[in-house]
Amino acid sequence: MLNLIEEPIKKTMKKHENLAEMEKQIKIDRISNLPWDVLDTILVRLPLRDAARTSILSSKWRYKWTNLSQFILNDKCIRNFISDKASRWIEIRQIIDQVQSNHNGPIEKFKLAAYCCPNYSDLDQWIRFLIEKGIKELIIQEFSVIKHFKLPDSVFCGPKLSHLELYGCILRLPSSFKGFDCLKILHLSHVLITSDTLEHLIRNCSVLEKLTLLNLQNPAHVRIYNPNLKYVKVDSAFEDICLEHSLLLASVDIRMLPKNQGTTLQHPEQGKVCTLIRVFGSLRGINRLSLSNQFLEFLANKDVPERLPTPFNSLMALELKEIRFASLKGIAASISILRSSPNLKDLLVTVYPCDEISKPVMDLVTAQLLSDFYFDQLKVVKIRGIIGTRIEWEFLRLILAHSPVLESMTIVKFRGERLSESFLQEVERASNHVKFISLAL
Amino acid sequence: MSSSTDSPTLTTETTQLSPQPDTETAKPTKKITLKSSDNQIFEVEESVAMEFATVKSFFEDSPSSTDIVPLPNVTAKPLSQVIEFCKEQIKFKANPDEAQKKKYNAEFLTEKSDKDLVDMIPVANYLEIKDLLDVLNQAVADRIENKSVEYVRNFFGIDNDFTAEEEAALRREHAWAYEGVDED
Repeated sequence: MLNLIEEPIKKTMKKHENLAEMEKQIKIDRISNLPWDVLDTILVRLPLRDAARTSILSSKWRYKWTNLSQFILNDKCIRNFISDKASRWIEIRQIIDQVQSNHNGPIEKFKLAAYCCPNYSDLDQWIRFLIEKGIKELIIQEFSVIKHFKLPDSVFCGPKLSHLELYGCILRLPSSFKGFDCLKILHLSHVLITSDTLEHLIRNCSVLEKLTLLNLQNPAHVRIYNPNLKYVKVDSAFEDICLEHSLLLASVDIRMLPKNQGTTLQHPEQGKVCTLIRVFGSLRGINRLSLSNQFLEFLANKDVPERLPTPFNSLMALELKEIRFASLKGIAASISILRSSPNLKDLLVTVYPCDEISKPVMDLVTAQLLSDFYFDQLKVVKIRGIIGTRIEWEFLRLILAHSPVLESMTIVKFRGERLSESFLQEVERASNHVKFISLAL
Repeated sequence: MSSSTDSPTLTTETTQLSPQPDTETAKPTKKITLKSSDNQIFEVEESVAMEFATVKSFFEDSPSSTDIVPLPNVTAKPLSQVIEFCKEQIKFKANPDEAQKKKYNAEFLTEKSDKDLVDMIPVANYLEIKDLLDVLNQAVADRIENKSVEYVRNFFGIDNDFTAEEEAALRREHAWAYEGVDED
């Protein structure tokens, strides 16, 4: 409770007079003299162009925006009518020039996400400046690449980095690189890096949790040895991958792209064990898994086991991407993973349309229909992009017949009419409560 | 702590050695008196006052003080609003409910005038109430986003000391920053 103790009347009167006087005057400026950290936390919540406009509020504000602790440079920092990529970079450079000549504190975060073509010597110099400023989050997103940009060595001597996101650069580690002690998020896209550098980099980030590798050029081997990793996403061409030492992995998303030169797939670590078991055999904690057909084919290089020796007991959500029902290896690996996931709740399958019917795949799927395994927890299934071949149909029947608690099945057909719900209702199924959602693209 | 109930002898001894300061006897009803710069007196529960890091350290420095705490940089109106906010936050501390807290904070901010919000920022900063400062800063940023320079000047009560020529030159220098501004 707020207790206002009564004041003498005289005093109150006086106060009211004061208040009235204040109203008459221009408003009092309570903001301009606040400590910089308070103003900074207001200004960094605004887009940079709003912060830059504060430079003409009054002379006290002239350079405040150039001292921010975060700079996010995007397309809104470039005048609309400028379309030439090099000229767009010049606009960006004017901003960073002003920051460089006036900034006198730390910079915590920098993000470049603008359509432009950076001048590499400008960019090099700017990154060095940021490292000197103790940058924690350095994020350089897609821009126009002509040739790759060599990152300055000082990036690897910036021990404060906690988030590093790079695009279109050449990544070589200087001999002085001792590792990143604070780096939690590493994201490399269109980066030129060798297998050994990549391995060395990942191995020496002691607290790394999230790793994303997109369209790398072109490490043959993606070797991920890091005990703390929780999230890995790879969407790139590679010849081999090692994940098996990252025992805390909870989310894995791998899409394998074909090698540029059309080289045949090699299995450098040839052994007696199926690659599926080697790569996933020890990862018990995974709860989200997303794999593409080509990667599934890669995993199925030897005799694919009916199920993994140690099941994915924590796996809740599985996504199978670009599945080709004509690919025996892809389907065999998919089924093996499905059968190794007793607690799966969500299944998403995107199908790569394919008319071809493969007898061995047909035999494999129909054989599963007769076996007595069940997806005891599977509730939601989505299958996108089917065209209505017999083999797709058998796969749907397999899921329906083995999922006793299934609640909904969404089927998106790629060509022609959608499947009629009454037709779907006729299909034999283990659950009495399936809601069918049938759509067509 | 168990020592106070275990043995009466020990308690007596402790009392003799160092008298227990009033603030540590956790009486829920204990009140603290705050005085604003415009000489208004506020009696607030101790738990609320301890949300103000500045007041808390005042008592940590002089634990036995029973004086009125003067707040020379704080006027009555924003102080009363800050007290109102902190009283609710204490309830959420006792019964954490993130959704309700978010709802309360949003309502608290929406119903305040621009001037009220701006006036509370220096108070929250002086009293070191981090949670409040965070939500105020966000609310202020939301209210000035995409607004014209004139609007923001008026919002903050800033006096423009640039000449027209100086202002025009600065506008040209940062031409990129003046695209896509809302109408006032």
